[in-house]
Amino acid sequence: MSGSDNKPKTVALVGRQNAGKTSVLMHLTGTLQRPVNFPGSSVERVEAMLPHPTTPLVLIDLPGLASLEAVSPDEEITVGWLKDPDTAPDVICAVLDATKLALGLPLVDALGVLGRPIVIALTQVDLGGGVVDAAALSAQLGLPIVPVNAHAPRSREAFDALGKALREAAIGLGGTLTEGSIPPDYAGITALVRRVTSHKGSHTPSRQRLSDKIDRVVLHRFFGLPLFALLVFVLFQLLFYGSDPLMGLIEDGQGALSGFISGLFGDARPGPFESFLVDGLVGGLGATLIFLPQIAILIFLVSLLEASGFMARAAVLLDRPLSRVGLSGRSFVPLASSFACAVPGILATRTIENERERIATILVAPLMSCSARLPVYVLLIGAFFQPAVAGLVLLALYALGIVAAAVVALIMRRTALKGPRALLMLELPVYQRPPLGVVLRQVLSACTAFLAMAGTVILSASVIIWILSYYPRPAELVQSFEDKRSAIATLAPEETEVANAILELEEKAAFLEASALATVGKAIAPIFEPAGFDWRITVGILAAFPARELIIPTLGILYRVDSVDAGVYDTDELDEAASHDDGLRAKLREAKREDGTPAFSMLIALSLMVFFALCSQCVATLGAIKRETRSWKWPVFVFVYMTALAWGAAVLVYQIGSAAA
Amino acid sequence: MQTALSDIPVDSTREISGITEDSTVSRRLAALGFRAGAHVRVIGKAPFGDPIVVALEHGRVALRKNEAALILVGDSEHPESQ
Repeated sequence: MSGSDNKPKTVALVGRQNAGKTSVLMHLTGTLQRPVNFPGSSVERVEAMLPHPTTPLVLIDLPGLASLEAVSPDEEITVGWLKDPDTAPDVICAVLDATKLALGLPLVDALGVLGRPIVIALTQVDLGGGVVDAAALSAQLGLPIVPVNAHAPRSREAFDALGKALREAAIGLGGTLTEGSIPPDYAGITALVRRVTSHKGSHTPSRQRLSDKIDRVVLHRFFGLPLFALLVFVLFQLLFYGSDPLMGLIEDGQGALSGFISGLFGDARPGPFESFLVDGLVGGLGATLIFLPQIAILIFLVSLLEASGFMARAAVLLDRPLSRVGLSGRSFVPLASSFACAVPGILATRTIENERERIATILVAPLMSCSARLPVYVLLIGAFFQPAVAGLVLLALYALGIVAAAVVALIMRRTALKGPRALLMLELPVYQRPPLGVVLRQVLSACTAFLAMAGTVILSASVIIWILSYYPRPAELVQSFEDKRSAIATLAPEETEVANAILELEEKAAFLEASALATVGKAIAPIFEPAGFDWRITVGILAAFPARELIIPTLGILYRVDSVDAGVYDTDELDEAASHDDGLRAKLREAKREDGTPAFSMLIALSLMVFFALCSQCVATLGAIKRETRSWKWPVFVFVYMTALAWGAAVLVYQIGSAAA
Repeated sequence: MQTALSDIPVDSTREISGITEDSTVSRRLAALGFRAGAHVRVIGKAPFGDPIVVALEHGRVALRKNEAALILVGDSEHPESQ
């Protein structure tokens, strides 16, 4: 070991789940810093610096461990990292819950074998029924022990003492575990714990009593589930209303940026570079970024429930119903999150230890109707359904996703993912006020992950779709619009502006019709014929491959309807745009009647919505599945099964509907 | 005489006498603190009666009846109600 150089020593915080590792890290360093992935995996750990003139330390918060016998894949990676001499930390800080000392000591025993100096941080000293004699325990184990208490008034001094003990251990002044000081059997350990604990009496501490009272309501046999449903309803209202103004802000920003870029190019006709920037880059990214507020608010609410201890209760409440379809209570959070966005939902499956159950949850999470489907639903329902049934149709689409997920999960758990049920053994932490720092860090981490995905996968997909929809540009088409433009130039000045605007829309539609995307769309249109879709809807579906909501601007261009944006929930604009200009409305009608029959009807709209409810048109989701399953097999499977399911259901709706009419 | 933890009534405190099988499940139970000599009390049941929530020493643990059936407890009520 190198001695006096100023390279920071590493300290790993190891402890059982809920032992208070994260809280110890926060109080030691005052801040929370970047989460870092273990090399080659998605398991996260958090690192933070503890500066010091001579002995600076890097503190590493590891995922919770019950023992060094790894059970879940996450634990395997953590334990491997601890045991590997190349990566092992210089010092181990074992974080023990004073109220569960008998469970923490065997972990310390296992850590002792690693041969690194150990410092024990004792948490929850205020919560237990007794007081642990740290000095006596320290003498028994031969290890420095620092009781820390986040809630106590003199907590600063306690954490300073812990920092000092860690620095001493880092320069070789600490201790290693006295061999044989921790009895191998439970009876011996409880005897040891009893010896070093002075009981204030065996009464249950008041925070635990309050927590038990809350549980009697939350987990009530009859009221538990209805109360829970009410809570979920309130949270969803918060999510949608809270994110609305922020989404408007992003939309305005996108519009302003597009306008600014167009302004830079002056009055000249849009060339490929301007179109690429405005339609490809800003348009594609804007359509994705619009979901950032919802993701941030969702993660905030979920972390709040998680940190307060409520999520563990939700898993208990819903374990039985989810078990019916081969999942368990642990699948609840990922599936509920997926109603906002499947990406954070899929990331949340990491807490499921049973690999097959985890994959089954990942496979059905994209069937939950996410917020990207909402604009599509609202547009089509508003255009083709009476307001009286609009809410019912919307509800039916959400229910369709849930039912499909239940069936798919059940089939998968009986076939390819057959296997025993995951165990449900959850420690229910005492309810507590959620630490805001921890919650905000989780929000930040989810947002950065989403932005990274938007910047890579979605960006490249948007560029590819833009290229396919922009090229080729046949010379005769270019010439014909050149001619029309010259003709307009001869008109009176007040007429030119309107005529040019109409021409620009026509031009966009004409070139899109000549594009590679349309060629592919027309080629595969026969496949979608039984579902009632014409080639233009097919192109819309293709263009929506990177993200579902992209179908809206594409249909807008194809049917020559202006001012229909992704993320605009208000379909009134459709009428407004038309009433501004009677010519445009006439064109919309013409487009609908092109081959004799209307391109859209209530039935086709329903068939299209069913398709979108079940299809997997989302590059971000497929990317997240690839990352979380570490294999291309599952994203490919999800794309194939969901597309097949969506096609089959859309065909069924259209054929039955046509036969009935 | 012993009873399984899954069969004892709510709010009754018992002492664990043992775990019936040796498997991954029993090792997980042991890691959570379900070991001979520890005191347990069923403090509630979820809707549908499963899973159950028990007080184990100072903590609260939720587990399914299937797993609770592996944990054997003494027949007599333990006087120390925690």
